[in-house]
Amino acid sequence: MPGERLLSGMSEQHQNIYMSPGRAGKASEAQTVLLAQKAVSGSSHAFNQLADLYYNKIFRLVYYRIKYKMDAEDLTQEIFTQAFRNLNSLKEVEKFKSWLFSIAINKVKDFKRKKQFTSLFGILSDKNIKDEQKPDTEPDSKPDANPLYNVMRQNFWRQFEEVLNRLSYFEKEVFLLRFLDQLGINEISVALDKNESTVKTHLYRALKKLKYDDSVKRLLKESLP
Amino acid sequence: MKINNDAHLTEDRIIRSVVDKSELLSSEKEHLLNCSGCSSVFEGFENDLKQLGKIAELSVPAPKRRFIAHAKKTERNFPRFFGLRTSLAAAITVLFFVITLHSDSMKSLLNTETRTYVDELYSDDLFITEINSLIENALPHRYTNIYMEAGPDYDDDFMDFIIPSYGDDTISGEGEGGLLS
Repeated sequence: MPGERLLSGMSEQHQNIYMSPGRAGKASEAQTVLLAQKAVSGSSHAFNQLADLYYNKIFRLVYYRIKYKMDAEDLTQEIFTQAFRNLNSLKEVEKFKSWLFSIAINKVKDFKRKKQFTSLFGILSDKNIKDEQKPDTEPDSKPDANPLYNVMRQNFWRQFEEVLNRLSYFEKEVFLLRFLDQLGINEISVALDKNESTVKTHLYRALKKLKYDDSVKRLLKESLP
Repeated sequence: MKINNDAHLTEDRIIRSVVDKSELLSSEKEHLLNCSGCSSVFEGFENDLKQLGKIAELSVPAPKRRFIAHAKKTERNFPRFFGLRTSLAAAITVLFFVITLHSDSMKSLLNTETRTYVDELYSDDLFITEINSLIENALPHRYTNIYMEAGPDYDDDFMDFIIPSYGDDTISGEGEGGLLS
């Protein structure tokens, strides 16, 4: 299976992260709610536990959208810092996950807007703009990471970007949240502050576009040998 | 909507079911359970999407850092009316106004000084002109017509005739051809 071949090229630590359903996935809703309650009442230790649970998920969410590791790391730190500072604005602790994801989405949106703004006024040099427009080409720094894995990774993101470019902004956002970030319809509607039927409509349109030209199937075939 | 249980689900309905299975009618759900063709299309598409998600997850490099919250909760006891950015923007605005006001006041101050200097020069000039005119003629204006020549006919000869100058022989009659000679 192509996924297994890709996995074999990864470091052991990396494999452990991805073979398991993810720490955040394992964490029960009850545990998250309990930790969120403690964090809201002033426990930074509880917030650190929540950050440990959701760090990888948020990092991936950012990376899926900007595809640049260094920026993704910085943004993830900023997202958790902002979440920690604004904990008192979290009214329903049950919605902590959606609330955190909404912060992340808005942060990514701001980041992209800022990038466009700076490039518009020529603050960045042409070289920097070009470098930041294409997906991250930095190889995985793990010493045991297979070079083949790095090549396949870059190839995948290039093709994935082409597929996503055919969707509108909202369709893309809903698709990413549903199938890459693994959020439910309700969680997406809270995170994007839209009603569920709107989310479903956009998801339907996105899937229809991808289904009719088999782009998902082709992406899976072409990106992996 | 009445659906025949034997009829296969359209591609649109299968996409709907991938979006949210609960959107299907009970007859459609039943068909999906029993029809191997429809269920294989549905599962195939759903598996593709799941696999895409998994490969995307595998293709993300591992983050190096982790988040540690250092800040104390006590700082949130103070009301935060402004965020850092808002405060910074407000500070810059205030600074801008201060500089603008300061420069304007400086400008207006400079303008006042210049204006005062010009005014003083002008009043000095008027004063000097007045003095000069008084030196030339100290009489009030209304007496001017009395002593000054009233018309062009009263020339020097006429005035000499009216008021002969002192030592004029014509009046004394002592000179040659005079009245007393």
